[in-house]
Amino acid sequence: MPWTKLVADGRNFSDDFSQQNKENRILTYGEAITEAIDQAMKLDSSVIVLGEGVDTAGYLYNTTSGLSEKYGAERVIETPIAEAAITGMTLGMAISGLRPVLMHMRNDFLLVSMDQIVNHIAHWQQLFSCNEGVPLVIRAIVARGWGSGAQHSQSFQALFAGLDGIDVVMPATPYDVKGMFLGAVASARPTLFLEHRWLYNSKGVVPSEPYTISTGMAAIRSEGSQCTVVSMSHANCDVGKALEELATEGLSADWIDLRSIHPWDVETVAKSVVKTGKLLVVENGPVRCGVGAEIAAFISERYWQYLKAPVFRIGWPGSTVPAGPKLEEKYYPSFDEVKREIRKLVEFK
Amino acid sequence: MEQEKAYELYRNLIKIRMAEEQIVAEYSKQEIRTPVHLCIGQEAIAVGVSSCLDKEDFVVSNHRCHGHSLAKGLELQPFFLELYGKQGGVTNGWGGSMHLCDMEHGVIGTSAIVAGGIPIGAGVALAQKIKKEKGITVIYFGDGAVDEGVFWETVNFAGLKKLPILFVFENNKYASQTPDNMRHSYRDIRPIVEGFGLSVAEVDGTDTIAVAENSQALVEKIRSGQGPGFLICDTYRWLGHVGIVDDSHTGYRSPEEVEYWRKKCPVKRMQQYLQQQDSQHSDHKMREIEDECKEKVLMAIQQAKEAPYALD
Repeated sequence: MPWTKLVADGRNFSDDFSQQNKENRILTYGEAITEAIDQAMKLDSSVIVLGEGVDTAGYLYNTTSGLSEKYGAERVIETPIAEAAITGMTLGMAISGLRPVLMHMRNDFLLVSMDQIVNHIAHWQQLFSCNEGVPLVIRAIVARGWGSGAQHSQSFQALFAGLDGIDVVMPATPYDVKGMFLGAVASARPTLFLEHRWLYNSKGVVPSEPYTISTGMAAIRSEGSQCTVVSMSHANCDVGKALEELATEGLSADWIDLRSIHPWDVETVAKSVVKTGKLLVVENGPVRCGVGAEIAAFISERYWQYLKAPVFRIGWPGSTVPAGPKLEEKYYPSFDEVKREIRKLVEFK
Repeated sequence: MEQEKAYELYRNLIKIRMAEEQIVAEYSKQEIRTPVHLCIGQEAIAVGVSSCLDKEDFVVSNHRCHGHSLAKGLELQPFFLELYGKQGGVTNGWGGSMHLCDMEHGVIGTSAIVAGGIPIGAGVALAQKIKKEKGITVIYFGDGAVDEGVFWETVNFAGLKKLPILFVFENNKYASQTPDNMRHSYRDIRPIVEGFGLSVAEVDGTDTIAVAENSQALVEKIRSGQGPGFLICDTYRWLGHVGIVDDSHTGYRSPEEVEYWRKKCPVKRMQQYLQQQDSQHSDHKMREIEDECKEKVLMAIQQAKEAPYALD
């Protein structure tokens, strides 16, 4: 098994890594996921990619271009637009000794295959105890802007986070997108791998050799004392910028990039809340019934005695994303709003 | 058909029939606490199809999965342990009647969502093709499943990629209580499926020998790489969609219709066949098979009753 050693060697925090890293190679998020897919296929001939657009012009934002020439059309399977069937087939392959990676251009398209994800993939291992588990990955990209609107910009981490049988991850950096993808392919559990289109041009250090990051581990992006800010995916960008500006006013916070939505890193978040006593969750999606709702409930149940303020949440105001430019601008929380909420939380008495 | 093989088919028919008749006998005691979708009247299909399969061939089944699993080799003991929710059941009590499996004999899994298992079976077959394995995958489904979009999506993909699949369409005429003429704008599925490039055979689904022979012809084509086969089986369930009683009194089907199909009993037809083929010994041999099977079923039930419940 090519994955056993890789996982055992796994490094888990980009900060540690970049300090030790002499290579210092900079890639974009898009380049990092492209490299990760290529390396997974090279490492293990049982890795199969499939989906609509994986082997035709466009190549899922160029993340799969050249793969069929390299690995053959049998391992790079262009499919009909039949989300339910190809999701079921992905499960069928995963329980037959392969490691399939199903790819969707958008989160929204996942819903067409909801029966296969929720009724089948999420229960399969519990019901049928497969010796090799159910090693499959479903990639789906969150889009935003340019009027993508109601059915092309949704972000469904919370919808799937309640399912025991599926891991849900949302990498935000080039380092993470590569390591978490290879970690997801290596994992014996099904993984829903949610990327964000607006992160594709962001840059960061990415080592050239393969490495894995396991699910369930958050990354502490910066440390402080006055509050804890938990964010995910693209929402991290606003948080980072807000905290940078707030630092000039002398404000400091723990900034935790959740990275893994299910399972989520209770230990890291709780430890920080015990220290700061204040928690804000910045959701990359609707606030209502979001990931922040689960985190807020959990922390309030188990760590209420450490809390000096109610748990704050920011996110999208509703579940229908508007298309018009002014509506869109108003819909997504602005960086100013994030800044304002952090300040409000810190000043809360 | 070789006599020895014909007796094996009879043994499988009896195994399924007796197992399900005992479920009917035991069910009111409320110790089997799982909804049962019995296949009494439909056994010939699973038995005939399984007679063409090897160990490396996989089966994906549906909510009416007892016959498919038992015919492929599932033993009676883990089967009944599962129905009773006991330790040692095929899924250790997690799945119940609608989620049988038996990896040792290739029963890779079962979906209780109508048509849900069909694309999964196609994925298993796609893996067999990619890995250049000899085996094929059998997908069982009823006439309710062909109402589903995912059935057609899968038939299309299977035809496109020439996957090693035998689709077994058990047309028992009703989706729960809704007759097929209230659900289908077409009368005949055959030309539609042929249009997707599948090899189709139609068979009387109460005639085990005919099912076996027609499956064999399709399986040979599939194994030789000619793409998927589609076996249309005309059949009928004697009892209700779920549970242990004939529900014709509720009005969606007539008692006369049920009676017509009871006369086409797969077990009786097989008995007649064996009597013709082996007039001297058949009665004795069949009785031996029946006695042996009855004992196994009763023992499996007794053991299941005594076994500890699955708790985690």
